[in-house]
Amino acid sequence: MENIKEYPRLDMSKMIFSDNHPTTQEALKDVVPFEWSDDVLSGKKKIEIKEKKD
Amino acid sequence: MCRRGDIILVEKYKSQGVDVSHHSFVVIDDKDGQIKGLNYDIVALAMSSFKDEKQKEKKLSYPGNFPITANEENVDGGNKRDGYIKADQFYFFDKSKIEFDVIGAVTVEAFTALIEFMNRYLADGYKIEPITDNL
Repeated sequence: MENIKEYPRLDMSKMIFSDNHPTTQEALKDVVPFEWSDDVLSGKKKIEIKEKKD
Repeated sequence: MCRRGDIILVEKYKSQGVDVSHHSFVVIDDKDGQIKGLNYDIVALAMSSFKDEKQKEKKLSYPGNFPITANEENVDGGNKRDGYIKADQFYFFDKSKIEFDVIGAVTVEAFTALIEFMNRYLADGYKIEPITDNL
């Protein structure tokens, strides 16, 4: 992983929260989990996520 | 141990008695805090892939979804490496109550773009839904 200091910190004090508080089960209803390879699941390889730009 | 930018795979946890494990999340904050009087030490966003092209189009039209792509060789079914981070819902976790593995990280560039994306989302008048039933 890259140097943690390079990762900007989100200012949590500026977050504006909704009155709607879904449960985890409700929130994950439409989420399709990624199917990681066995090498990732066993810790042999690490995944890297980038922004998708079309 | 995890820190912001990490991708965690939650191995075991339940919501309202239902097993909702095996989901991947991006850690966006690793500082201790409190919400609704409950302690947390991770704030994370859910990552999702797409079911099909129709769902992809629909999901990417939502203002709170940030498009991502994974390094292809590490995803079963190389054509399913694209997805999105659901930036409109914050999951608050207490590390002592979940089992998880750190399976990778978001690049600094993508994480920086995600933070800017979230700041724009809030500036446009949207609100974040907090998920606290894991605490």
